[in-house]
Amino acid sequence: MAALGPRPLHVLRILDETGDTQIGYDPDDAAAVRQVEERFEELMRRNFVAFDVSTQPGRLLRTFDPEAKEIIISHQFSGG
Amino acid sequence: MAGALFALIGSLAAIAGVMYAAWLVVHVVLPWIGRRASGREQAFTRAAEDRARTLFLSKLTPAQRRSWLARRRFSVTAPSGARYTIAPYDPYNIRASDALFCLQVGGNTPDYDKLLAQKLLIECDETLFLAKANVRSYSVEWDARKEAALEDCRARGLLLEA
Repeated sequence: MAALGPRPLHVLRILDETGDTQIGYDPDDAAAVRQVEERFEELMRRNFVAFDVSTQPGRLLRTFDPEAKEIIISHQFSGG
Repeated sequence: MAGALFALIGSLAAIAGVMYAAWLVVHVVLPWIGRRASGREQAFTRAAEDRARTLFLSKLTPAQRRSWLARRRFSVTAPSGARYTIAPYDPYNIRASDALFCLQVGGNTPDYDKLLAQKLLIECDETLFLAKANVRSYSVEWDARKEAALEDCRARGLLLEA
């Protein structure tokens, strides 16, 4: 029986002028999760758009989901 | 005689200077203003472009990646089953069989980031994509789909406008 190791880090990627800024965090670390959630909420208030890409197909996120293994956040969309 | 020669050289130099300035305006300044006005100023480092490209390619399926690398376009299937083709980021770079879509992605990010965002929006929430994008089509079917999408997104609180 395989020993249970630490859960892999979850990641929040914010698409920006550097390509993306990646924030990895331990989903079992409540303080780290709270910090990432605050960043997420700040971006949502600025009308960014978040996608949970850890499932196939992905899904749009309106609120932070600590179970999402990978979240990509983009600037907002508009018609051309 | 020498004075006339110097005057001629001076005049030619002035004309050349004016022509060079005009060339700079047409080929450098105006395109730069155009890029700034359209939010497309490309001020990214090579590292940023490479990073965005790597992330973009990593999020494509193998078929999408092959298609992008071979033909600079790839197909995305939305939850409804509708297929869209995404070409390099530009106005109206997304197309269905009978329609073109213009979807701008805000922010000063490399184009590969914007392509990834377009793909994710179509795959994750086609209704929001249709509500946001400008649609050009000969088919009135898309007008109805656009209206339905706007209504749905308003009901879900996804659109800021009233």
